[in-house]
Amino acid sequence: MRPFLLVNLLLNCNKAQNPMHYALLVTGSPYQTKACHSALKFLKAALLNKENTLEGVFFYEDAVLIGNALTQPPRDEFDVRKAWVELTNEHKIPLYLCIAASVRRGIINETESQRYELPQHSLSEGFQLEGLGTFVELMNSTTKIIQFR
Amino acid sequence: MDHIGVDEEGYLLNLADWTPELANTLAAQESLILTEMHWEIIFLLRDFYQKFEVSPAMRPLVKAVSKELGAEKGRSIYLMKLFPGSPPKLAAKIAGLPKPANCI
Amino acid sequence: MTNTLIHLSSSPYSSLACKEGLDLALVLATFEQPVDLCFSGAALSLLYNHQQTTKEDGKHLYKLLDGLEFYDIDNIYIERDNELTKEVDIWPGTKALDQKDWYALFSQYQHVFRF
Repeated sequence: MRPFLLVNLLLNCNKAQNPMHYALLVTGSPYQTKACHSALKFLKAALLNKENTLEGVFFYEDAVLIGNALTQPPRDEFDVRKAWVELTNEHKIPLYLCIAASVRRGIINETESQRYELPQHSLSEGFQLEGLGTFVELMNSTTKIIQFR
Repeated sequence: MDHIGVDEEGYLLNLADWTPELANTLAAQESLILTEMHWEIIFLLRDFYQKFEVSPAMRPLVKAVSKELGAEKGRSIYLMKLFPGSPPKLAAKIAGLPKPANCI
Repeated sequence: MTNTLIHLSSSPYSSLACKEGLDLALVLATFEQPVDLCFSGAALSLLYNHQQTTKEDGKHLYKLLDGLEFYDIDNIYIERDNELTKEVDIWPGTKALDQKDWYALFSQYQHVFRF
């Protein structure tokens, strides 16, 4: 199903009810899957309806690779990381990367860089490292979580 | 102790470095003197990790203590007295185990 | 308070998916959120008895099965009469569901996450 149709379907289901508070769980790798791309499309479509609120996006498993600031996609290709950064800058939607999943994959912020005594860090602007506990909070503060894998 | 590597928070870098003597040193650094009551929790924790390959957070630790050492000891207040602050974190550190994930 | 089903379907030996799915289950349990597990497809191999894995295969994830009770994760579902579990010894703690109940399982939770 095309993402936009999926959005309409999901949004229409809930028309009669209260506005939806969404959060997204993204688990698919930005290279092996289109999870990060589809989630982005979904979010943009969902934001067209002003009644919906998006509480945050939590990246887990290989999806945390989206937060690698060092990636250099070819100039003529879509830069999915940059697109996420632009989205969060515009709509102030927090983008969380699971800290355990990130650190094991080399997505390191300044604090973790110091903790592991590393000479560099790699976390992109726009993203923050958080524990899975943050995801549990998201689950309890939203009406629906949608997983993209 | 000088040649034993620990991370910023004091957890062992190499879990195989652990010995009971080292536990005493690690405990001293936390201003703790280990008694029999501490040791039974430390060995229980090490046994838990050996069996399941995970350092327990508070709830599973309490449950495991309750099952092995009786309901009287299987209470968070008892563990708090022995390992003040966060019992699962402090006890794991002294027992030479990884820091429990997402521990509250 | 929400109830969650973690559905493991990936092979425990070809990716980190099972490991990270189980990590999420443990965290939910730590935060006192009710969580159940179910296994299907390649993930069923995690339940096989007598596994002898090497360090390169990752942590001995199957060892965690016996520890789930300490996290109050008591419901671990599989589908009955599955080809993948029929003729092998599997971990005894699962609850086998008939096809109808298995299909119904997924609509009984507020959240279903797949790994």
